Amino acid sequence: MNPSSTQSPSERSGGYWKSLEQWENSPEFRRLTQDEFVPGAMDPDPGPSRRTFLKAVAASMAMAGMTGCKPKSTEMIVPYVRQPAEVTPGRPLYFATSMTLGGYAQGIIATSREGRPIKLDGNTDHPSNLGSSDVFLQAAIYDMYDPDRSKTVQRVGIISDWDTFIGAIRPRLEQKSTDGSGLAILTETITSPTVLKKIEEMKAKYPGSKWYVHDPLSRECIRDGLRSATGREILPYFDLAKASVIVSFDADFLYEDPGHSRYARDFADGRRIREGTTRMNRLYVLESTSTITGTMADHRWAMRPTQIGAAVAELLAAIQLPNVAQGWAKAVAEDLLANKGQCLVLAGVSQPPEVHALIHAINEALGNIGKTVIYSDPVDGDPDGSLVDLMHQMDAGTIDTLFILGGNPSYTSPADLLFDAALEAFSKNVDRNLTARLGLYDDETSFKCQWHLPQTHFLEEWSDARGHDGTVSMVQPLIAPLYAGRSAIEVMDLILMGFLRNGYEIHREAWTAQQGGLDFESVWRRSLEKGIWLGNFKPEAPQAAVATRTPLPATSESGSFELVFRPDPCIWDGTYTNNAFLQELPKPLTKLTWDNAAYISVTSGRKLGASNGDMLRITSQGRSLEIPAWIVPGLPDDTVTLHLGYGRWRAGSIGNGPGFNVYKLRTCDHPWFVSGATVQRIDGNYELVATHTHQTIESRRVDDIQTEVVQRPGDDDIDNRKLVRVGTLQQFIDDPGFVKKLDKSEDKHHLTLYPGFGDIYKNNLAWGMSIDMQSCIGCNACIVACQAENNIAVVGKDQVSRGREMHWIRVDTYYEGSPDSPAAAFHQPVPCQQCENAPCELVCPVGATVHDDEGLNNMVYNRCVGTRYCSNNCPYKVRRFNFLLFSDETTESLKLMRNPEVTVRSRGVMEKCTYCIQRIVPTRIDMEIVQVQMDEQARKATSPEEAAAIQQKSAGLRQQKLDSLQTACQQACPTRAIIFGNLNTRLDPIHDYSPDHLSEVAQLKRQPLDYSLLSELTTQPRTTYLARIQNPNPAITNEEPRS
Amino acid sequence: MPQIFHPSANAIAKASVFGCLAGALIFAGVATALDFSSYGTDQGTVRDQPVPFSHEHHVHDLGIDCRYCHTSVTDSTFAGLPATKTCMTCHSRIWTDAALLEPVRKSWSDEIPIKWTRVHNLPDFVYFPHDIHVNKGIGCVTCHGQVDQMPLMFQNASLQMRWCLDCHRSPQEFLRPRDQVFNMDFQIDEHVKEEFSDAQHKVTDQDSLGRALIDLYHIPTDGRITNCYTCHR
Repeated sequence: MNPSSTQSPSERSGGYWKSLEQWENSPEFRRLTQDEFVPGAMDPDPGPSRRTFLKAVAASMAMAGMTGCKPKSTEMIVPYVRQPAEVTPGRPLYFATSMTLGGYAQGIIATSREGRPIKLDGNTDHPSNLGSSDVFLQAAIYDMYDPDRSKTVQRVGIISDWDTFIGAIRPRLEQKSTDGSGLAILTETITSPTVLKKIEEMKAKYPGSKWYVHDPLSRECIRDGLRSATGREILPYFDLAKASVIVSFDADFLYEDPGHSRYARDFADGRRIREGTTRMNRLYVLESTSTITGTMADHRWAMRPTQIGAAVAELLAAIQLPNVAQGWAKAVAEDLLANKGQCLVLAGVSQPPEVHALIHAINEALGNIGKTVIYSDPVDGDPDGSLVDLMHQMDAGTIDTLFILGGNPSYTSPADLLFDAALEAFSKNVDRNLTARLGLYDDETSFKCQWHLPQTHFLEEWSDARGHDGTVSMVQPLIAPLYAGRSAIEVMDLILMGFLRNGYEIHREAWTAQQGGLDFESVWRRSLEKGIWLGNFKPEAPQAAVATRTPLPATSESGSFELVFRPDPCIWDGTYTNNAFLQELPKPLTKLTWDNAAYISVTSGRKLGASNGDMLRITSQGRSLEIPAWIVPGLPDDTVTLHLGYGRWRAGSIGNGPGFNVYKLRTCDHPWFVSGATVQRIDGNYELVATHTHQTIESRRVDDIQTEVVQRPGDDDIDNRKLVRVGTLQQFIDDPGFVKKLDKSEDKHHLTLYPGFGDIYKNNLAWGMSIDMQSCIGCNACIVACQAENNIAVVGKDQVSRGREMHWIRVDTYYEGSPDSPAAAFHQPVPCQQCENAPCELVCPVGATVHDDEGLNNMVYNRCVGTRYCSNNCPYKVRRFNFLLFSDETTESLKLMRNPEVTVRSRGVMEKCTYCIQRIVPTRIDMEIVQVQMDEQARKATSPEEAAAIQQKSAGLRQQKLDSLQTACQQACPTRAIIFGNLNTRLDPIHDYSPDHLSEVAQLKRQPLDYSLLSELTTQPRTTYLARIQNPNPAITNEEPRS
Repeated sequence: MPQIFHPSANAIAKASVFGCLAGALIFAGVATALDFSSYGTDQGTVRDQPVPFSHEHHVHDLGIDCRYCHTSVTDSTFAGLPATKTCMTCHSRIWTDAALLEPVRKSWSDEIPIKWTRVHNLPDFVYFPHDIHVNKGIGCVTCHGQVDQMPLMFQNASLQMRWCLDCHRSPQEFLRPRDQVFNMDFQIDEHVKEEFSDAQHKVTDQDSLGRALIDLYHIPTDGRITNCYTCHR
């Protein structure tokens, strides 16, 4: 039967697993993997009774013959009145723009179809992301078309318009032009040079007016720490490309820090393993929660947040006196000292200023400043104060006019400030005070203001922002505002001028002033094309900030738990709460969707008697919150990780409801972590939905869980090849072929039911994909990119709980070791493997999934009748079925978002990854058109030399088109872990022009680390994987976390 | 006990059994025939348009090239419909008072586009690119018919999948030289026969011309263009 199930979990120390359920290998879990769909997936929705059903059947039979009588739908074609020169109907246009996350810019190339932006991708020219994306960038397109966006100006909830609003504020502004005291604006972190300039102008025009900033994810700890250490106003950014040893103290630099996409690329570049590689970087992570940065570590230690500071001090001491040091600090310090100037030590925004001062000392001692750590002037301006200062002024009655631009302080402000109530009281005094809020949504803050002003989405406005390294990034509109929205720049200008001007005019005027009139038009045009300002720019010199944080008072409470507050990996600080793409996105590591939870360690769970979904009451500093527990491997004990952004009440139809508002426990003094909290298990259970048990690839030997997933050198069991193959750098150097050893006996398996298909593959383009598990950081950008590109539906929490999520690519995370402190975690993105011998095709009764000559497994929606046999027979579990009509076919604004090149699937249809066939086909067509046109030119050539030259050029052009073909996931991937392309060295005889050309993917497939999943099934997948290589420090043997 | 059913009930029973079967067959036959007929496919149906534009007049009588209005037909999946400005290049000077052209003038002065009714309407899961067909020697006439003889535009072909496959399976029956794509009256004349004959091909009729062009224009004959993903995605 099953020997391991008789063993209790605590008796086992090792193993490889995707979820705790799998680790326990309970009968329930085994049933999950054996059945194609999770329990409930096949259940009919509670709907009509049998009687009603029969009636409906009878009626539909009777009506069946009537369908022919329905008038056919007519479709309109609406051409331009004057067609712009750059527009070719049916071809996309691309524009460079930028978006901000936490105020910092990332470059975007936006795809526009027939005047609608439909897809956002990274701008390869932008240093903050080098063409790659994160989940927020990919999902921003949903915000643009979100049907819940605010559409009109409102005065206390009553529809109004801009003219009325201007009429209301103009007398006030005129009166303030002599004495501006009483006028205040409140914003989030702003890096836009134009907005900062308008704020300066406002202060000049209305003397005494004030600018306050509230950002729930403020970086002030870093700035304060560096100020105390260096006496200067600076912020750091990092050059990971130069760092061979990286030590991260609670810094999720691959996911959260400004510039994370760039950091991820540089980090991955430093550890790519190809034939002959002997060096890679090494990452140590000491953290208080589970992050994807931690999963990439070669050594990771989990510790309580209050212990991080001591660890930093210990490392500094070890660097200063390596001979005295002991344990981990000695080993790490020696590693760092051996790489002076080529290493990097960094700490997260959550750590207090004292820690950042220590980090500065460490980097200085290691000679990293100016090499891997670069200090730059802060780009976020010099506000007059924080939310606390604003509230003091509001209480003192020195403010009577408050504009809140962006942000959502009513929701994100610390609980002890009671800002929400203060704002309400302030707004209620209508005779004296005026409050106006510019926001994308009519949310919690707008609700407490007198005026709500609709804001433009960044795809509708002219603006600018600075990247993580200060790069000035341009924001240009792709579409006229869908609603009555205005941008922050326009509203700032309104406050200055007293009337509304066009954002283009204001933006252009600001940059004309910067450029000084020299050659402006040409610089302007080139800058908009690049997405980066290329002309002169003199930012305001930073002034010494007034606000300094007082040292944290120790809490007097006696609870034994520590709380860690983090932005949610999907919905951030609440900015994206109403974004359906991000709500449904399985969170990295936990794969939780649609909710947040209190993350606790396995031991803490045992101690509290709580398992997944059991309600906990968390009490901290006199406030309490009830929130369900979620057991997360690798968390420090007695620590609860709480994610911000959930539990909103005016977010919109998507964001209202899910999750729990942990801002209720966050205070001014302890914004990031707090000790002394008590946690207790209370009655009740809440249904949390995670996808980590869905679509589990069944092991060949279910009984043998210990060696089920991960294969390391020495494990030569060829009949049980594992999904994840891992080795260390030393093992790779000793035996580069260790991964391939398992596949040697495959020759006997080369039987196929399709004789002759092999030759067809050889003579055609042959599409293939290589996924580098060494580079994949598990950031999920590919999932959202695929969703936006392929019109993938969002199904909702209830449907996800039935295993009906539709994402075509998933990221499986496998842990190694015991759940208390897993030794490692591995991310494995799994799209359709495009098997050459595809098991799905053999069982389709209607030929809806068939093979084509370029090796793609075609899924034909209009043939599919929904038997789901294909999904049942797919060993990789990559097919998704539309159990219901998941695509929203009625909401007008969402229709604008869809990619017109991809069919919107209806109910009862199977779907799966297509390798982005909508990108392949136009590329192939373009190549063939070039070929046939240039052939004709060559025939008309006067000499054979000229003809040959034309053919050469034709070949080059076609190669260029082929090389620029990327799938959506590949384009989004920050680390270039996904590479797609043509596998054949030669194209078919017709295309025979460059025999030596080997595409990047073809080169990767020849790498020693290349392997395919479940190769013993001889499905011959076109998607293969590169094994993960770790680089542990041989001096560290004890992986146990220090208590 | 008297019989419940009169002996003639047998006949009725048989008649109803066979009658039902025959009825079902007839129903299926009629439904299929209807579906395949122009009633089902809209073949030959003239659509109401805001302006009764005559291709016959503009193409045949005036000799305006297809690409004058359908500008993107060689470069894009969508052939393109003329902007109002294109109409007004001529109609700001000729027929300036014609009542028929009132919608065009109104569109021009109000800056509101004309809404034309689509005549060739494919299902949304079919992706037909004009550019590759036009560039590889499929004439406009092949699908759209002799539009120079259509006073009002109608759908010339059935647009059923089998009709597409007729050509994708044997393209040689329809290919023409690239420079004859926009010719409404293309005939294989001596000039064409001479131009496209070479060592491997002797061009005498459409079939031999088609085979010559298949090689010249690299048109796959190994079934690649009948792969599902060629048109469906």
